Amino acid sequence: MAATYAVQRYTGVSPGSAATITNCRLRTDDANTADLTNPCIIDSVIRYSFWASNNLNITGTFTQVSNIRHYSNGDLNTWTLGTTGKIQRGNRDAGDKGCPLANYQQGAGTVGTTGYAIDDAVNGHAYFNGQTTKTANLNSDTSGSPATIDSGLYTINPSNTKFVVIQAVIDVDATSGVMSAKTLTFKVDEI
Amino acid sequence: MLATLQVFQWFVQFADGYLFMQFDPNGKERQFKDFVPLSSYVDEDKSKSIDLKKNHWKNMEAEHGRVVKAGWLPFTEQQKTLYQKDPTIRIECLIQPQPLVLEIPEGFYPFLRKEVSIKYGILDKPMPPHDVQLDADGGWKEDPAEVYVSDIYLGAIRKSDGMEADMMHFDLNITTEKKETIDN
Repeated sequence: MAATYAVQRYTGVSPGSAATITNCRLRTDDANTADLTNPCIIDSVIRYSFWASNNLNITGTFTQVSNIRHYSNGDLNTWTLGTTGKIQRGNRDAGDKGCPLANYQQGAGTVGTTGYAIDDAVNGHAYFNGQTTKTANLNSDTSGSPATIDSGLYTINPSNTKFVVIQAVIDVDATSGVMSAKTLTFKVDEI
Repeated sequence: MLATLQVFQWFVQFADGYLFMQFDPNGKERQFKDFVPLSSYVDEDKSKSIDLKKNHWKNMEAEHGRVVKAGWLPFTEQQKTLYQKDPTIRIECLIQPQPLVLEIPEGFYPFLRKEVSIKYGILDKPMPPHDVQLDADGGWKEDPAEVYVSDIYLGAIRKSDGMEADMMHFDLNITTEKKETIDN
C-alpha cells in the first residue's frame, strides 16, 4: 500500500461537505458538479464565479506528506476573461496561502448571476479579506513559483489539507467561445 | 482513489553488499517510519515530523557498514506484474531504463526524496446572460485527474556537519495532461 490522493471540493454550510473531483468547474452556484448548470456569465458589470474551496485528501499507507503546493500551467490567461478578468486565489500576506478547515466559508452570491468576490469588503471570504493583498492571480502560480498552501505535516490516515480557494473574475469584455480545459496541480513531498 | 504512477524506486546499498529497496521482495512498500532511527525525528517522541535530511540509515549502518551506493532504479516488468496486486500503486517501465546511482563517499550518507504531483482539471465557460446552455454532453468531456511521482532527488550529506554534496534533482517530465475543448 502507498499513499493515495484525492482532490476534494467542499460545498455547503460550514464545516462543508467534501466531494472528490477530477474537474473543478467554476460556476455561479455552490455546487461541485462539472455540469453546465449556472455557468459564469458575461454582463455589463464584472461578474464572479462562486469561490471554490479545494483541498487534498490523503489516505493509504505513508510515513509523512508535507509541503503542499498548488499551481497552474501559467496558461489561464488564454481564457479571454476580459481586461481585468482572471482566475484569482485567496491570498494571505504571510505564511500558508491556504485556508484551514476551521475557516472554511461557503461560496455565496446570486445564483446564476454572480458570486461574491473573495475580497468583497462585506461578503468576501473572511480568512482572506482582512489581508493587505487579499487575492493573487492563479496564473502567476506556476511550477517554478507555486503557492504554498499548507506547510503542515500529515502522518495520519486519513488527512485533509488546507484549502486553495479560487474563483473566476469575468470582465465586461470577456468573450464566450471555445474554451480548453486547464490543468491545476497540487504537489507534495512524500516519504 | 487515484493510484500513484511511479517509474523509479529508491535503493541504498551497504558496505557488506546488503541492498535495501523501496519495495520488499513481496511487493510491499517499505515505510520510513518502520526503519528510521529516533534521531531522524524532529521530536524524539515521534509526534512530529521526520527531518528529510537526517541519516535514516544509521541503524542499518551499525549492522551492515556504511552506505556505499544509493539512487533510483527503474522498475522491472516482473515488479510491474507483482505490484499490480496493489491498487494504490501503478508502475510503468521505461523504454530505455537507466538507473540513477550515486557513490556515497566515506563520511557521507545518502539523501533521497520524491515529490508527488496531483493534477486536476479546471473548467469555466463564460456565457452571455440568458444564453442557451448546452446539455451535459454537448461538447464537454471529463479531464481525468492524474497522480504521479514527478520529481526525485538524490544526493549525499556529510555526517559531520550535515552539509550537502552532489545534490541532484530529476524532473521526470511525465506528461499525462489531456486537453479537451468546449464547443460553444
